[in-house]
Amino acid sequence: MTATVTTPPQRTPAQRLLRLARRNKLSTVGLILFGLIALAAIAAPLLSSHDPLAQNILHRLEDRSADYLLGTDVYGRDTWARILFGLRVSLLIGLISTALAMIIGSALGILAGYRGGWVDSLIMRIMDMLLAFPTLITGLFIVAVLGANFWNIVLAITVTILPKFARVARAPTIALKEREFVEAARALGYSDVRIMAVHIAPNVLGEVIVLASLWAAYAIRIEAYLSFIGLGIAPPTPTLGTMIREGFEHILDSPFVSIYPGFAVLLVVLSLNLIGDGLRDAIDPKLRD
Amino acid sequence: MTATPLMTVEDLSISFRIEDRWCRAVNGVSFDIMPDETLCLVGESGCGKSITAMSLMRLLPGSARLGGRIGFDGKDILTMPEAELQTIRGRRIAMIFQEPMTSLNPVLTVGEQIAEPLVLHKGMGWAEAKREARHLLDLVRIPDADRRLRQYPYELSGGMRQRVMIAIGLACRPEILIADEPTTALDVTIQAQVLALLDEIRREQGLSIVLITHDLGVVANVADRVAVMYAGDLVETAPAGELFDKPSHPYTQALLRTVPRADAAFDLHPIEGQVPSIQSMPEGCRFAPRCGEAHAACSSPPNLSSGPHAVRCWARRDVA
Amino acid sequence: MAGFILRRLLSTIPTLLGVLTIVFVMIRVAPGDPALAILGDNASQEALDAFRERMGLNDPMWVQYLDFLRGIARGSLGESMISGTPVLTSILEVLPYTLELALGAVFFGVVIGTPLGIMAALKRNGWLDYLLRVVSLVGLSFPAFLTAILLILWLAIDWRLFPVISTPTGGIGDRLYNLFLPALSLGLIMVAYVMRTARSAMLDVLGEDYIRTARAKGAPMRRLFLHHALRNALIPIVTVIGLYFGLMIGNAVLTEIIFNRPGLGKLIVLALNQRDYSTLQGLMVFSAFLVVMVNLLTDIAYGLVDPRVKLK
Repeated sequence: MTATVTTPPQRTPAQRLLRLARRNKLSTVGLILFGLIALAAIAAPLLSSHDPLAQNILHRLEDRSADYLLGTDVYGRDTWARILFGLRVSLLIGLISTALAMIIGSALGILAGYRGGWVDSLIMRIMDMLLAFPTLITGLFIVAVLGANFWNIVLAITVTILPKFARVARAPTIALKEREFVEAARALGYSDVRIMAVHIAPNVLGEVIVLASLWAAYAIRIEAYLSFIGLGIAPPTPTLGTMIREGFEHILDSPFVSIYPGFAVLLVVLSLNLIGDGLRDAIDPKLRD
Repeated sequence: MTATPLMTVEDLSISFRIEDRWCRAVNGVSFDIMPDETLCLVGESGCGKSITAMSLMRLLPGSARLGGRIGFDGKDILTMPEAELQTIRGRRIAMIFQEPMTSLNPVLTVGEQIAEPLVLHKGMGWAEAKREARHLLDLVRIPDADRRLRQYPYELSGGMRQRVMIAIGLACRPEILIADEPTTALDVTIQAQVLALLDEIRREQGLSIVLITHDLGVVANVADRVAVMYAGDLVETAPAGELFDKPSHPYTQALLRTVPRADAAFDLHPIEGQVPSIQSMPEGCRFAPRCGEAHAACSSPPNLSSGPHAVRCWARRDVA
Repeated sequence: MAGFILRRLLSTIPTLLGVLTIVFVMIRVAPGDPALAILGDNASQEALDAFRERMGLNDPMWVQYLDFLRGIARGSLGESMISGTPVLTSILEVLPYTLELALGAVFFGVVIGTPLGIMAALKRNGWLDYLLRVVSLVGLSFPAFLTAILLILWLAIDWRLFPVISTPTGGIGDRLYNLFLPALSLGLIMVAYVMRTARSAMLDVLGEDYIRTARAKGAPMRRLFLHHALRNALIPIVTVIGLYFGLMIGNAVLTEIIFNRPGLGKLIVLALNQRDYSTLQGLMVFSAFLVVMVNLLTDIAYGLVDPRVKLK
C-alpha cells in the first residue's frame, strides 16, 4: 500500500532544526539547561562572592553554609566559585575543540566523499587509524607528549573526535554528488570547492550538528578526565576534573568536595546529550517509531 | 454455486492515521471465498488489495483501524482474541508474501522455518517436524531436500525461497492460502513455474487460494473468480471467464486493454492518470476522474450490484 | 571460518602500520629532550650521551623508525627508558586485570542493558519507554569517575558490601568479589549504550518482513520476540559492544585509578608521570592493537550470530 504524502514546505536547515527542537520536549529541556549553565559560567564573578583561588586554611573542608554555598575544599577555597570558574574552562575547551573537529572533520569527509578514488581512500584510512586508538588514550598521549596547556588539550580532543565527523559527512556527500542540482552546478562550470561549500555542505549540516552536540558532550568529559588524571590546565586555575581529583583524596572526610564538581560535569554532559538525542530523533524518526 | 463459503468478508474497511487524520484505504469491501477455488484480487498498486489480503488474517500493524466483519468458521476474525487467532494463522489460513528475499528469517535454517508451524500447531517434536519438512520440500519440487533443509535463506535463489515460503504455508494443510503477489519479485520464467506449482497443489490438496496480483495474464491462467479493486473499492466481481468475455466496469475494461494479447497485437492502451491518493479521494465514484464515460450521476458514489457478476457503476446497472 | 579470520587479520595490517607510524612520529616531535627529561638537568654530558646512545637517539630518524618496526615485527615493544624492563613484559603482567575489568563491564552492560532495551521496544512510546529513555540518557552522561565515586561511597563505605580498594588477587571468588564494583561502575555507561541499541535494533527487526511471516505462521508473541527477533537484533548489539570497547579501555584508566587497581590504566599514568616515553610508546601501540583485535573478534562474533557473514 503506497500512499502519496504531501511534501512539507521547504525550510532552511536552521529553521528546520528550530522547528524540530520545539517539537521535542527532551531537547528543549536540554537547551534550557545548557543555556543556564553557560550563563552561570559567563557570569561567574557575579554569582560568587568568593575568589575561586583564595585559600583560607581556617575554613578548610567546611560543610555547606550561607557563606559557602557548596562548602570548601582542603585549602578552604569556595567550591561553588570554583565550579563556576571550572565550567568556563570546560565549556571553552569542549566547544572550541568540537567546533574545530566539526569544521575540519566535515571538510575532510565531504572532500573524501566528493572526490572519491585515492583521496577518499587516503583520508578514510587515516581516520581509521585514529579510530584504532582507545578514545581517551589518544587524548592522554597527545597531551602527555606535547605538554598540558590550553591549546594542546584542544588539539588532543579535536584529533580524538574528528574522525567521527569525517565519517558522518562522507556518507551523505556520496549520495548528494549524484543529485541533479550538483550535476547542474558542475555543468555550469562551478569549481569543486564552490560546489562542496555551497551545494553540499548545507545539506550535510543537519546530521553534523546533531553529532556535534553529542560529541561536545564527550569532549567536555574528556577534558574533565584529562585534568582528573593530572593532564589538565595547570593549577591554580580551577577545572572540574582537578577539583574531583583533589577532593577524592579526602573522600572519607568530605565526599562532597569531589561529588559536586562531578555533578557539574554530569549536568553539562546531560544537557548536551538531551539536545543531541532529541535532534537526532527528529531527523531520523525511525529511531523513535 | 451453492456451496457455503469458507470465508465471508462483509463491508471490510481499513483506515490509517496519516498526519493526524484517518484515511480510508479500503472502503467497505465484501466478497466470499468458496471452498476449492482460486479467487484473484486484482488492481493497480495502491488500490488496497494487499492490505485487504493481510487483514484476512489480521496481520496489519496495530495502527490500522479495521471495520466490518470477516466471518470464518462462524466467528469473526476481526474481533477474535489474539490467542485464538494464533491457532488459526498458519494452521487453517496461511499466507505467502511478495518478497521472498526478505520474508524468510536470515538467521534460521530453512528446515527450522518449515518445521516451525508443525511444531506450533500439530504438537510435533522438532525431529518429526523436520522429517515432515522433507516431504514438504518434495511437494514444492525442491530437489536435494536434505541439504536444503540445513541451508540458510541467503544460500537459495529467489524462486527457491518462494517455494520454501509455499512449503511453510502448506505445512499444516490450511483451508485457505493467501498469496500476495507471490511472483512479482521473480524472473519471468520462474514466475510461471511458481504459479503452475500453486495451481497444481491447489488441485492435489483441495484448498482455496486467494491470489493477489496486478497481472491479468496470471489471472487468466489460474483464476476461478475475480474481484477487481480500485482505490479501496471493489468495483467488479465475476467468474473469471465471464469477466474476460464481458468486462463491465469501465475500469476493468481499461485494465484489460492494458494487457498485450495475441489477437489484438499492437493495440495497447495504458490508463490515463493515477490512482487517487487516499488523502484526497473523489467525492462520488472514485474512478470518475479517469473514466471516459463519466456523467452527472457519477458525482455520488454508486453501489455494488448483486448477483455473481456484480458491478459498482452508475452506467452498468443492467449488465448482471 | 579460518580463511575468513586470516583475511580479516591481513586487512588490519595497513591500519596497524599507520598506527605505528603515528605513534613513532608523535614521540619524536615531542618538545624537549627525553634524555634531559629523564636524567634531569644536572646530569653530566657523558651520562646524557651514554643514555642517547643506549636508546638509539643518535641514529638518523629513518634508522630509528626501521629499528622500531623491526622490534615490533619480533614482538618487542622496546624497553622502559627508566627501568629497562621490556615494555611488553610490564603490559602482559597487568593486562589480565584490565581485561577482566572490561569483560566484567561488558557482562553488566549486556545482562542489564539487553532486557531493558527489549522492554522499552515492546512498550514503545509508553511511559516505561520514556522513563528508560531518560534514565539511559542520564546513564550515558555520567562521567566515569562520578559513577565510581558514588558507588564507592554508597556500596563500599556506607553499606560496607564491597572493598573500597579493588585488589585482584586470591581465589576466583575473591577475585570476582573485588571485581564487582569496578566492573559495575565501568559497565553502567555500557548498560545505557546497549539498552539504546537493543531498543532500536529490536524496533527495526520487528518491522521486517520475516517477522510478519512468523506472525502469519501463528507464532505467539513470546516466540516472535525471543526467537525470531532477538537473534537478528543481536547483530547491532554485538557491533555496539565492539565499537565502545575502545571507549571502555579508555575509561578503565579512570576506574583503575579510583579503585586503585593494577592494570593498563595505572601503567599509563605511571609512565606519564615518569616521562617514560618508550613505555608510553609501547602502551599506545599495544592499546591500538587491542582495539583492532576486538574489532576482529566482533567480526567473528557476527559470523556466529549471522550465517550470512561466513561466505563473505
